[in-house]
Amino acid sequence: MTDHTISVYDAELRTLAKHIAEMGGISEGMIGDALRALVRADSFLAKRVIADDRDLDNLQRRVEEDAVRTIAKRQPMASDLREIIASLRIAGNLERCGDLAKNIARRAIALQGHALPPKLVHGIEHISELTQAQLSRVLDAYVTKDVETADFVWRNDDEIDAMYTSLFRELLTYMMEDPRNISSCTHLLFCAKNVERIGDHATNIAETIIYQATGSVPSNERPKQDNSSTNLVH
Amino acid sequence: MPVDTALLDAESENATLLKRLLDHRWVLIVSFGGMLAFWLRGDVTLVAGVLFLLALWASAMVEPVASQRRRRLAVLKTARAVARRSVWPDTSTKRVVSSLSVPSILVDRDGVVRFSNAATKAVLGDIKPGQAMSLHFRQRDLVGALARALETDQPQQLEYTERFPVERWFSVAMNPLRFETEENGSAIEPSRFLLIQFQDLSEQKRTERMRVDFIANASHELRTPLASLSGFVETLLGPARDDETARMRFLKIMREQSQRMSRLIDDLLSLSRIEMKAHLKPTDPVELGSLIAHVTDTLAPLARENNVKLELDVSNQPITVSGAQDEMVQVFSNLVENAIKYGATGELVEITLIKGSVESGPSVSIRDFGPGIASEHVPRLTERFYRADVETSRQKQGTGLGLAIVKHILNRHSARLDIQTEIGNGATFTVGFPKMVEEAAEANGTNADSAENNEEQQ
Repeated sequence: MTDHTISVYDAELRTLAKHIAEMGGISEGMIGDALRALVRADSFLAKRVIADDRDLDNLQRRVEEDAVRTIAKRQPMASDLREIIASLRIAGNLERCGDLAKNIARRAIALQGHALPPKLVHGIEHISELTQAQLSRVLDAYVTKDVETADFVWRNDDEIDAMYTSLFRELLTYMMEDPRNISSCTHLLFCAKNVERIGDHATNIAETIIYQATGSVPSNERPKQDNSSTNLVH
Repeated sequence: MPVDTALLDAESENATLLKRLLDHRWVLIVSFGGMLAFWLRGDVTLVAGVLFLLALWASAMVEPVASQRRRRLAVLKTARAVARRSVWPDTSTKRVVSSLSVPSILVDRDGVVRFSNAATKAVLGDIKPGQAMSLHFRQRDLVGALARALETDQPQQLEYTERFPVERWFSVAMNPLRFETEENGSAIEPSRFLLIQFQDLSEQKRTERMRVDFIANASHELRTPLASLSGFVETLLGPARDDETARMRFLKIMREQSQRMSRLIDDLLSLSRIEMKAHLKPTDPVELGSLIAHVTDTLAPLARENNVKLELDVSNQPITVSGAQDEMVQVFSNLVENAIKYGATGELVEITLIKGSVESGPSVSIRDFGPGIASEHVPRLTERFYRADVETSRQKQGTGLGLAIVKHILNRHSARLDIQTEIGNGATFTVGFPKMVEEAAEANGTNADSAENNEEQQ
């Protein structure tokens, strides 16, 4: 991309991108910490995640203000406009990721003292590994404006969905085995769902990156495998 | 020193006004004297007039000399300021940074990357100069430390963990590049660049982690067979002391259990070994065709035992990927062994090797015609100790670690495991290798060369 005549304009766009990357770093950290807090029953870490969410919210507000001001002042066209709109959208996605991480952290505190079956913990770790890899990849793609990676992330979400479906079934089995498991399994179920939602936000960000680079959103349906809502255990 | 004093003087505005008047003092004095003479004498002779004009001219000449000096100093000052603000490091700085063996990055006062050495590219990936450091390293602690280092101009040290694609640990040192000349001595001039160095700590951390993980996993999984072993020992010592038939039966079970424990320990150890190396990319060339033929040969007895026919479809052309020979052997023997054990009812296992195209790398698929795997298990098969069917797994002497080992090895090789299965129709496990990169081909070439050399020497 060529530079603008007014260098302050470039600086404004750069600041936007920098803030988005910063938000990405914070939400990545929050997600990792929240899941570590859940797996290790570390309420101190969980509380830190909850506190971190405020910074993420503040940053999002700043990105929004900056974006609106830039639009008002510079009246951007074409790729600049897309870049600013993209930063607005991605900021929203990342802020939601932070909220979901905060929710997981809250549940980690609630789950303190419950013994979790190691098999389920492995499962939660597995799905969160997949999701964090997706998010990290998509944020790298944002920085390097790499449409190919974004496209890969966009197509790769079905793995997480399949994983979630599998966990969903397993949690149901645990709950049916022993009603005393219900409260802890419900928390875990919501945690798994939150992680799966974070994966969806990663694909949304991937879509936005593709939009920013090409001006069009990929239209054909993504392969979906999340049938948990229709799956019944007999 | 006088140069610096003059610079300091020129900087303040009041001083400039005073200075100007001072510079013009001769003109002022002469004109004042002339006016005084005119006022006192009234009439002026030609000689006096000429003398006055000459004096005025001479005094006026003094001024430009002073102001010229000042102007020169001002230019010098701007040049210095420009030099201080210019964000690109000079060649000698770059040369020094290039020669450092650890990944090192130079950032300017705005936190923008200005130079990075070859080690950075190899270890941390391509970091383009001109982009903000925080774009590439998003993690909060690092961003915070960078901001602190830039603000206070003081060195910072922190630990940085990169989670993807593999977990790596670095000790990061940020040091301002101070430029201390003889001229300004200890006078602190803010540094223009910050040198950020990454020291890889993965090796140490992994060793620590391995111990913790091994104990956590081993203690949990070894408890079951150990409990049954000690149970039988108790029984043999107590109630079944003189029961001949029970003793034989119990001893057989105990043998099975102890074998299971040793298998578990073997698998856990090899998993740990692979995890230790997770951050190192394997580079040796491995020829897949002969490797797979070797694997099927070793597993032929097991196949015969299970009444399974192994069918191999390997092209004659050699297909080479970069990898570690013994780890690749482990991947394919685990996969083929699984196919034989769990797909025995199909009585056939097909192994197909496909040479890669431009878009995709080479791949190996192992297909069985057994009962298949229910879809809800598929995404989780590579988890440690995850068993789709606990009973069958126990019967077939599985440890629940086979596919976890496969996944870890493939991760290190940047390869993918793809599982296609349908209940009743068997399962296909496909290992997809990354696209052939030119480097790999080059490595091949050099290897072939050295092989030739060896032959010549012989």
